[in-house]
Amino acid sequence: MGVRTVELLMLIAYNLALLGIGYHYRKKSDTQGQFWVAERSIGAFVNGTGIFAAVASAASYMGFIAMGYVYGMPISLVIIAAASAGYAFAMFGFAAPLQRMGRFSLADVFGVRYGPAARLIAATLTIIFFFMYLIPQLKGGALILQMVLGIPYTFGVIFIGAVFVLYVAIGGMYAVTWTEFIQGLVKTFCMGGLIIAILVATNGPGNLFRSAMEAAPNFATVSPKMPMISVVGLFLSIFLFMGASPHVVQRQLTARTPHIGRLSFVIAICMYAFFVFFGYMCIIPAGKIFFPNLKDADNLILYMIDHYFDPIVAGVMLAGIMAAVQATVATMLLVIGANVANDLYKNFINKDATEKQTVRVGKLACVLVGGLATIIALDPPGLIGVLVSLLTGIVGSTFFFPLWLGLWWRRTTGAGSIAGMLGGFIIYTILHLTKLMPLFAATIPAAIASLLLTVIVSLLTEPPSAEITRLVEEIRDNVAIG
Amino acid sequence: MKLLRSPMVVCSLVLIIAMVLTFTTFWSEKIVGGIPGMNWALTFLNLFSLLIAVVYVFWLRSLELKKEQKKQVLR
Repeated sequence: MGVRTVELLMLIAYNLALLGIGYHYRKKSDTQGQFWVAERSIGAFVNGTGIFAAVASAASYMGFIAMGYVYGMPISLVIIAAASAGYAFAMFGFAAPLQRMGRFSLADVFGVRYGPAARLIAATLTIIFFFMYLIPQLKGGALILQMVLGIPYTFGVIFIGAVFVLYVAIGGMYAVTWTEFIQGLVKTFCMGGLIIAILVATNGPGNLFRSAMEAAPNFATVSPKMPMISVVGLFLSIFLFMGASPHVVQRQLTARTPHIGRLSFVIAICMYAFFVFFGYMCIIPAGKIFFPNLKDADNLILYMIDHYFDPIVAGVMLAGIMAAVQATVATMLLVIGANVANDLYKNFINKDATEKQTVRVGKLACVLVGGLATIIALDPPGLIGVLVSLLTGIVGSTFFFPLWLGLWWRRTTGAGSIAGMLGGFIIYTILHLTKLMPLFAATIPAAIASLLLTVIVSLLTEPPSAEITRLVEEIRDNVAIG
Repeated sequence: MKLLRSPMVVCSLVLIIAMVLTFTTFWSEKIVGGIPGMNWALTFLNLFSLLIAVVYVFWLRSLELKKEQKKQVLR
């Protein structure tokens, strides 16, 4: 049996298992509570692994490693340190109030807290952002299949697209949760295995860094091509994204209790802080030693797996990389479905829709949007990490402050939230498209503008109703603020 | 004053201070353990975020349990 056959069989078995999980949960996807939030029944370890799996995408396993290889290792470490700090901050601010609010999506939270206009804007922007996000993720998955197994890129995109669309549409959040749990474990195995293999092969971290400094003296400093304002902007983008991205919010809504919601973040931080962070600290220097002058740095982790492992272990590791792609796109697709069905269809198009009709529209939306993203991914975009980081910046700049203030500050109004969302979104888009600021730096003014607009417009407009004020008092973590 | 001693405010402030301190090391050219100090500063921030998250969860949990016990005593 040749190397490629073994790896191909492992990947096929893995994908069949995902489809099997989707099929298993087909009967637990009829109601909105089941399909969007798994009846808020998920425990801390599964939910935390799910949060990690949903966020650690193809960018984390391929694109961000490439950025560290090209622009210096601290750039990759900045991303993961921002992720860990962002998760911690998200846990302080979002986990418990969101769990207590008991809604189906970020737009649903905005709808209840701020009214229909905020719901419409949040849902529309989420659909646009995540649709753009799906494409580079699919590209990452197809690249793995092409590079390792020699499967044509086109076939790879269609294969990955078909698998994730099917298990999301059939099994809903239950399927997404349990596939993400497995994917999270496989991904930690992949990074953990690489860390051990590299450290054993190079006789420990001291030798690894010494050899890397000899091979590439500047590998552990920030490249002059990346100005400090870009580094700060990148940190802020990831930091804000971790709590307020609609797919992270969706996972928080599945936690069984507020305490479990918080514990889930601790689990997710553990996985990022130990496996991904130290994974980067090993893979990037080892890449400089064993694969200097790579033109396709996106594929560094694939070269590493090929370099260190036999076919069976490599097959599991490649499943880990594919898991990085599938877990992210699956949650995002489910979020798109929730926004189309619950926030747009049920709230604006057919207010009398039954629960079954709404879920059916959500499933149809998953199939259509997932299918369209697959078709577009056939013509691949550029460096995955850069594209995802730009999208990361826009998501945090748009949603973080309107959400955070809405959960804690009674005075935040619907008009304030809309001004904050649109202000952050428009300023980020203008600064990015006109290239008025260096790479990633647009998040800094966009996020500040979003914060100021939310506060100022809230203070200038009529205070929220007594009902909303009571809601905020009930959901926020009163113990946490004394 | 009570607000200033609350878990959320204390943990958020400590985390923000750790982030600011981390970025101040970016201008330092010190080499530690064979690589520039900024890499270790990021390692510190990464692990410190985990530590502060654990402290927050269990601090809050103990306060919640105390509150529940008080309620039970009052009943």
